[in-house]
Amino acid sequence: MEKNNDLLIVENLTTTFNTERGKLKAVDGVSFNVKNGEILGIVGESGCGKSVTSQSIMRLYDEKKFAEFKGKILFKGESLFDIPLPKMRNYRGEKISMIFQDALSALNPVFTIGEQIREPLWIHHRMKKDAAKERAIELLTLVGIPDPSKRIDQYPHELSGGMRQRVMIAIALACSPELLIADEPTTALDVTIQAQIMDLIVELNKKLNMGVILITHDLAVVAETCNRVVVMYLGQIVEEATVTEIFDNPMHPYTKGLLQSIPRISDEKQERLFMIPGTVPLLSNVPHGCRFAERCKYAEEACRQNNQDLESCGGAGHKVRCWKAIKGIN
Amino acid sequence: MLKYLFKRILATIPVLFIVSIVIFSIVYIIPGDPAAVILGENASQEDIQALRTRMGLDEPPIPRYFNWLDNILHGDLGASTANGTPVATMIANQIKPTLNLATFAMLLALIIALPLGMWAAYKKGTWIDQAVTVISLLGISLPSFLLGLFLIMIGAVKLRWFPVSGYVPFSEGIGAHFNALFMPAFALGFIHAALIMRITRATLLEVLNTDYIRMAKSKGVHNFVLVAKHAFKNTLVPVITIIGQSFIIALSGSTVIEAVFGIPGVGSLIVNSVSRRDYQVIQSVVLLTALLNITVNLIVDLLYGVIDPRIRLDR
Repeated sequence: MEKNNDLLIVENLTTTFNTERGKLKAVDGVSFNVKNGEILGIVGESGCGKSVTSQSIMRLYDEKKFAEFKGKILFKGESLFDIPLPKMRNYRGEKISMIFQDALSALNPVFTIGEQIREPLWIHHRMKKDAAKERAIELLTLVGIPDPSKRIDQYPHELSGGMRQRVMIAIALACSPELLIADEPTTALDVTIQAQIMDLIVELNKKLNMGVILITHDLAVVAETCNRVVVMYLGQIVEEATVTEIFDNPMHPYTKGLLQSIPRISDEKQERLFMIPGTVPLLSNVPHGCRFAERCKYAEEACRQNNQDLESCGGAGHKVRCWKAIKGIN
Repeated sequence: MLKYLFKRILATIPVLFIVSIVIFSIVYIIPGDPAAVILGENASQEDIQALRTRMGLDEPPIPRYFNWLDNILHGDLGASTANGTPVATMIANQIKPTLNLATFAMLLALIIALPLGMWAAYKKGTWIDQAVTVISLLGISLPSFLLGLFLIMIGAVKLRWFPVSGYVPFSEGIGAHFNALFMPAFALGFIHAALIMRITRATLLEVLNTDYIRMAKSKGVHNFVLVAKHAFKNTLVPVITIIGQSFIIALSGSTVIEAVFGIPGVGSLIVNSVSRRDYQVIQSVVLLTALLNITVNLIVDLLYGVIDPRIRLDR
């Protein structure tokens, strides 16, 4: 793999929050990369740090008091943590943009859709109102909103859920970003709309050749859209591989558990749906050794004693954080 | 919008009707013969009887009420029992200083409260936030007359920037008008500034934590625009509610400040009328206050619709 093909490199990212209950490491030593035009999936349960990772990339947290970052984030070779915070604004919305989970709460209720789409165009390109309006209509057409010249003067609450999500994508695409971070873009939508929105993201990814980080807890979505997947558990990456590898040859017990929890209609046996036992431990109480050990049926004493590292295993960049999987024991 | 306005105005009729009944009953509810009270201990029986007849107290109350209501609806507020001056003239003469004072007080309150409240929310947990909290606590706990006296001591006696008391009408010069009005307006408005500051800070804190603010930030919006545009418009609905209420309280509660600063406003009219048992004047002023309340609330409700498109006015 040539290095210069990398759009984003995250190296050993650690995000610590200062909370009332002390310091919490929400992301602990996460490394991955996104290539140009690639869709990378980040998968994990709620609270595993996938959203924190994405918001850390954009440095959206209050760094004065609340959040501390360690590690490195290179965007097209430029270290994002080294540029002064006010300059970060030049990246946000222009080079990296973001789609949020719930479009109803992520769109400002008191401004029209047109105003919200025009805003990044004004901020980054100083585009005048008429030109920006034209571009806004163009964008709404691109994301498949019918009758855009009418929609542009409407408020978010006047649109349906799917429409709102499309509007948010239009806002994110306004300045043709090179990297799009989609944070559970379809969670708040019903299944048919979900498929439409995912198709739209894939289509735009191909058309505009932008890198996409797709954050989701839904492996089925990953299977249909992503090139590579990173599986996160409690602030760490536990497995990283191409989509085909993950589905054909999952190595980490957690990934296996996730895959087994997907309901399959084709199964002949009347089986109960698999469930990973236990719950995710609290961040304030991270277990020693392997973080998944308490919920893992293969775990033994050595797992609880020794910290695990993410290690390469097999070909094609497959990495896993489990010594037993690497040795092929289970 | 027009339909809504019409409906709202229609809805005020029963409210005003009830208020008018209560106001009218004051004469009957307060113990003792009003005529005897007005004339004092040494009045003769004939004089009292004469006054009773002049006040219409001999007539049965219900026809009297409708007669009174009819007069009011035709713009006739009656004449003062004490000196025979038409009540409408008395109010017209004294409402201007009160209106000007209350409006100026609210303007001062807003100028102080909105930026400070927003600043405190933006700088939550810093010394700025704490300073603003102290100021607002001070404003809430300091009685306005005391603040007025302090202001007179400092602003008028020590620094000699402002007159000790008195009212200068607008027609005698804008500068002199505002100069005379500044200290009373400040004394009257400070408590409201404190309230508005607290509400602004609390609401803005809530708004700053929403997804749409994070979204705006992710678009590259400057922090100042983030607070002043995206967040501020969303904090306005609760803030404007408080502003409306504060304005009503400032208008109807300026009596003490008017007394401290010697402003010939509605407050002094009320005080004089109450001490003279001048029911005709009291009734009119209370009715006017109720009407004002309703109007301000209506304006606030209309503003909700302008600020927040989710609040549909025509339904």
